[in-house]
Amino acid sequence: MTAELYWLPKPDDFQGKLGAIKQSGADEPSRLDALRRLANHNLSLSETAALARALEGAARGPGDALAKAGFRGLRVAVLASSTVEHLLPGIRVAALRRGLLLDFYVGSYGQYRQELLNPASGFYAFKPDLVWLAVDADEALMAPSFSPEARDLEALAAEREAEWAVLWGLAGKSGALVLAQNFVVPPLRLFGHLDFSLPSALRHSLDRMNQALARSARERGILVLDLDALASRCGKSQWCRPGLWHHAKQSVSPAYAMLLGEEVARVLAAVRGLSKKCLVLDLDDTLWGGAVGDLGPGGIEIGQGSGTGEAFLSFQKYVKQLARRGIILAACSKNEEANAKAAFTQNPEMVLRLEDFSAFVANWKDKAESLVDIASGLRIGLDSLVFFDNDAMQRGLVRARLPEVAVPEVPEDPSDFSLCLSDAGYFEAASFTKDDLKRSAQYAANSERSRLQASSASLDDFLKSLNMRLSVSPFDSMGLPRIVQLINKSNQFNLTTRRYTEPQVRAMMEDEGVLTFQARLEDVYGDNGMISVIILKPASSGGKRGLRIDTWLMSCRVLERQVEEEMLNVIAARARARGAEVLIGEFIPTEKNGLVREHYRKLGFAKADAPVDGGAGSVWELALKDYAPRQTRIQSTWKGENS
Amino acid sequence: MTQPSSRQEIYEGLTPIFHELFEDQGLVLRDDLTAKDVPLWDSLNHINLVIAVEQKFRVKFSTPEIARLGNLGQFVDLIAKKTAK
Repeated sequence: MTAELYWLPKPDDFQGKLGAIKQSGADEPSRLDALRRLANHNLSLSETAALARALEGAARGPGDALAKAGFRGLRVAVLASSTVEHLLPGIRVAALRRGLLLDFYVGSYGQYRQELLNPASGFYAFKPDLVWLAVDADEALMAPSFSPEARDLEALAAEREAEWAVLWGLAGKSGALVLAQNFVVPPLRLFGHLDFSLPSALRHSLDRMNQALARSARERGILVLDLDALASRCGKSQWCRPGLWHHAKQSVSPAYAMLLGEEVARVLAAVRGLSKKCLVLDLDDTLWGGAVGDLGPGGIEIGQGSGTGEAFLSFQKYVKQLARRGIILAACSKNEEANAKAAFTQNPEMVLRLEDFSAFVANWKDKAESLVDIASGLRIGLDSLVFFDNDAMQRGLVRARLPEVAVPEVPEDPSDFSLCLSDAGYFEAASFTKDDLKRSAQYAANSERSRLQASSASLDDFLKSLNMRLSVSPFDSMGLPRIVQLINKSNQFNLTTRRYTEPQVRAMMEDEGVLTFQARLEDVYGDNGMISVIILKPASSGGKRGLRIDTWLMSCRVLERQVEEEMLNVIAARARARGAEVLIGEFIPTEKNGLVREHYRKLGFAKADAPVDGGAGSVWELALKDYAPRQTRIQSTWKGENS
Repeated sequence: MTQPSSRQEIYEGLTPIFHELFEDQGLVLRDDLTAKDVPLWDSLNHINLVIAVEQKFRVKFSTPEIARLGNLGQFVDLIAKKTAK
């Protein structure tokens, strides 16, 4: 692969545009918005450097205005065994692509152990949100050069795992999320093919250390950058040029700074819940060859028998796998709906079926309009969509009209479609839970429920017919990955949008004073998975003992199902059992949570005079003494203390 | 850009790289320009410059070749030699 981000369009007059932004005198959010648009291109090394320089210090700008415009600051510490300064511009620009403004701390070269072991180090003073431990292969083995005696690899792996446990533990103590990286196996061979199986050879030894790293990281919930795969994809002799190592201790060539930056930013974004959720696909010449309207469902090129047909088939297979891991699929085609659907129902070669699509739009409206319909129908933001269309004109139109939608360039050859989507990495995941696996089924069930709702005489009949069961319990280790995912991903039904790392959530889980709630909802159509998370912290109001609702979020899939009412019944009962007299709710507005502006009023809370610290938010109170549980059509159970 | 035939074309290719890397839109490239004349031309940016030029002109420089460079004119000559077929 070339060093380029080839799925992004090339910039047009980069210098002119950057110069205009610098001189425009626009306010900071508008300036950053313009820079973000520019960042969404396939930039060269020098263009990336220039753009990154325009961004320096942006993370320390006025927080409120930036947050409103969809930007978030993130403090990233890099502790490395080689020099990494040349990689920072690429990370900064790729983070901007996702609305993240980075502040960096770079530890002294090769001093990562000291930084972690010394509580007074600059690393701890920096208070990072995330720490990237960029430790190279040299550090994995005590004696990286060959020695004829067989290494005791098992003992060495155990030793390394013990050291990682200590270092990761220290890094996590800062409250930061830890991003490790695996070891790049150098291309240099000593015996040749034997290096693969000979325990004393470097290749075999590093493979073993990488296995140990994968296991350790999985057990401890540490993120790992798969650098070895990335270096292989790019060509290892280019990825790490010996000359650059000797002269400047660079273990990654600056040629790959944009690519590595993009990969690191992807992981940061995934942790923050900013990965894309939905793949919107064009049909003609994207999922099959030819126009189904002209050729008929049997005449399109798909399936065995021709190279082109097989190319589209393999793309459909890849898309199907994405759907299976929980990516929502949508179709967006300029076609008669009956013709478009006939391709799926009548051509036996198709791997994708109509049921795989959570939304199916085939009409003659312009595609920007259709994408807006798709997003609102699925109740997800436009910034959750990836639009894949072989037609350059449609791509250009959508980019211009809906800059939030990710629109990759599509290769000429359908054989390259899958790898293009894979390289573009829109669907990067920081974790994978059982709930992800069920997501497609849940969205399909959502449209079923909508149908039932339409046929029910009244809303109450409909809710009754759903036979909903809500099971609520305190946070536990089993639920932790999904809880952390929800806390960092939910934007719309989220009263405070407070993001917490896994160590922070675990600390609250273990804190006796904090009341935590995770809720799952089942109905006649199946298990909706974990759909709501609430955190209550001790507080007082007017001399009364109270609990403050630090976090209240819910999946939008279960909107208008009385879940929030029933959750209030549950938390009010728990709060009262704790001796609390008042529940204190906060609403902190963001660009995306307008949905819950009146949440507390609807639930019978009274607006308090006290404003939220320095913001446009509001505070609400509910006296528990007179609280009568609200009537709902949900049967809830509490599994926890005093149950 | 591949195979520029003249030094002038090489200069045209180099100009945006210099302007972007060294954040100086007014920098005029000339044969006797050296790192001392440009504030942001430090050792880190020197490597960035070499790699950016490699990518732009699709050439590759060896460590000794880079070490021998005295001024921009010599760099242009080297690019001309490498891109000539």
